[in-house]
Amino acid sequence: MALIEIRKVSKVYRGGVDAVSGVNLDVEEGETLVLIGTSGSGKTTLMKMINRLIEPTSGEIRIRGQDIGKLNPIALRRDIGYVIQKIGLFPHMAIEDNIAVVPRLKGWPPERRREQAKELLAMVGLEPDQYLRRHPAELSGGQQQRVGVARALAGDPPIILMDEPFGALDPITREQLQEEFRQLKERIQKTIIFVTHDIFEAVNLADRMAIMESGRLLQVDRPERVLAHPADEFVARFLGKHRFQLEMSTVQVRDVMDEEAVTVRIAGRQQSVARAVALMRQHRVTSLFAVDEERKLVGIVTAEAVRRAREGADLAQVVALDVATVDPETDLLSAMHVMANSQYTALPVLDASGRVAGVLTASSLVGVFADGLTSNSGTSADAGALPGAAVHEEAETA
Amino acid sequence: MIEVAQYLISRRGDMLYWTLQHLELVGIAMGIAIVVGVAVGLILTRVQLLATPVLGVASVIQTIPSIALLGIMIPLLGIGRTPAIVALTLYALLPIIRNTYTGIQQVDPTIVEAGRGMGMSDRQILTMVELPLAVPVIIAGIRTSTVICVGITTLVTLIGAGALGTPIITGIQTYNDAEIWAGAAVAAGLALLLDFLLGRCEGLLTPKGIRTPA
Repeated sequence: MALIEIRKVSKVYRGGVDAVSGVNLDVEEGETLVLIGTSGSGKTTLMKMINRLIEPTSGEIRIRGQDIGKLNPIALRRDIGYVIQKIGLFPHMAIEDNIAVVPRLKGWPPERRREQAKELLAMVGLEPDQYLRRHPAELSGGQQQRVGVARALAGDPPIILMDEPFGALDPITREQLQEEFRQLKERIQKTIIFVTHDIFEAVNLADRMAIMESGRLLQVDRPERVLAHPADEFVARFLGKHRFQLEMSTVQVRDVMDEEAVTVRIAGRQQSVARAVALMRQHRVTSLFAVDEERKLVGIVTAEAVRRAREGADLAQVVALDVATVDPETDLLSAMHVMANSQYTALPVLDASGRVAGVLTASSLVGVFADGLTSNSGTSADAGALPGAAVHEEAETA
Repeated sequence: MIEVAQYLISRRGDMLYWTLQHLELVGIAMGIAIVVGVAVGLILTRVQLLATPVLGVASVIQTIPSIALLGIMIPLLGIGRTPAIVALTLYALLPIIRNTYTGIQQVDPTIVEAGRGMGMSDRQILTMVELPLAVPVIIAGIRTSTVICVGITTLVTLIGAGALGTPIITGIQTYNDAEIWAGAAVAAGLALLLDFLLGRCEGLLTPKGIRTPA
């Protein structure tokens, strides 16, 4: 049984506007379900029916099998965290009191409230001693919404509703909070319903996404499956011109990188330029990664640099150190941006300890596009097995 | 100036009596006006339909010349303290009702929704969110009312309720400038003093997070 069961729920506003019509949706315990649609699609209305800020015209919503229409709405809301777009912190309360509102309503003793406020503040990345006694007006927008998220977690609700929580923030802060949220949700294991109109945000944060239009659910599935198999014309149009970028953002570098990066060890050993030339010829590549004895990256040796060097010169002198790198977990879209801004055509992939784990080149990407990526399989794990992947060609980067 | 000072010293007993009488009338009228005005203002925020008619009636009362209102009281309540207090209360009501109403109306609806979404009852939304945020506006209304009330109380001597209007009216009738000045100066001083004290209250009662640096 799903944690939240939405059954044939409709909402007709006065004047006969169908905000939500006949929606069936199960939300599983612990998942992040993103409701996405244009404004007026009914996504916010549907979300607000879960904490009964809006009452459905017909249908039923059950939480743990219990019809919430029969519960006391005030008690219900105290067990459902709520984050709104305009943040909505209480300006007259200190940060500590803002966070502790629900625990206070639930009658927790003051020490326990303070304890949790401190914990949550630290969890969202704000130093408790520095911020507990401050007031919202003294915080930046990003800091305020961090407090907003902490406030929603206070009182340990199993379910959290988030209504475009990062929509009012500037793009840089938004991206930062999205990234923090992604890590946070792994840690807290809550059931989260997240409303947004930003398709990138949805794909980035969702375990499953539910696409709404004109009050109806068009498709509910994992982001990579929605991207690969849009249920209908509208969903395809909604994903629209960003679909390619979105698909790229669901693939990780590790899935497509070439693990056979050609490296040359320079630290603690004298290597000649001639040796580099030999390696390039042997592997038919135009650049090598210079590494130390632990295979940690030192820099890059390009054919261009080798050609300009004196015969018999020490290889260490032609190593370029200004090379951009990516992690195996970096999504392909970001990696492509890094590559586009790099002056080298081979992008080293470094593991957590800085060792060379593989290489990303323009030809790895060509292989991905040619394969049609996830469209066939629904997963991307096999997309990286490219024939002749060890060949790094000089090519225009995407 | 010297005559005014001489008058104040020679009649200090009377002056003190009139001043206390003045304070008492203002105090009683304001006490009633604050309780009734804040309550009515709160009701208007809950029953929006009433807002326009009630604020309209209160505005009309405000436009009746104060001397006329005192006169109207005589056939209804006779003369003396009671009709004076009723008239003063009526005058003091409008700014308090209006400021309570607008003070609560202007609370950001998203903040109220946040409170409701977190499981506050209507009463908790009022006491934990709306009232604290409306405090500066409500007190500003009380200050306006108090200053008006101190001024109008100088007229209640005309219906036999005494206070600082007594030396002023006597002074007018006897062409005694010093007497007029003495009454006026003390009444004005009283208005300034009360306004100042209420200003301090406003500072103390306004929650820290929404105080604007002076």
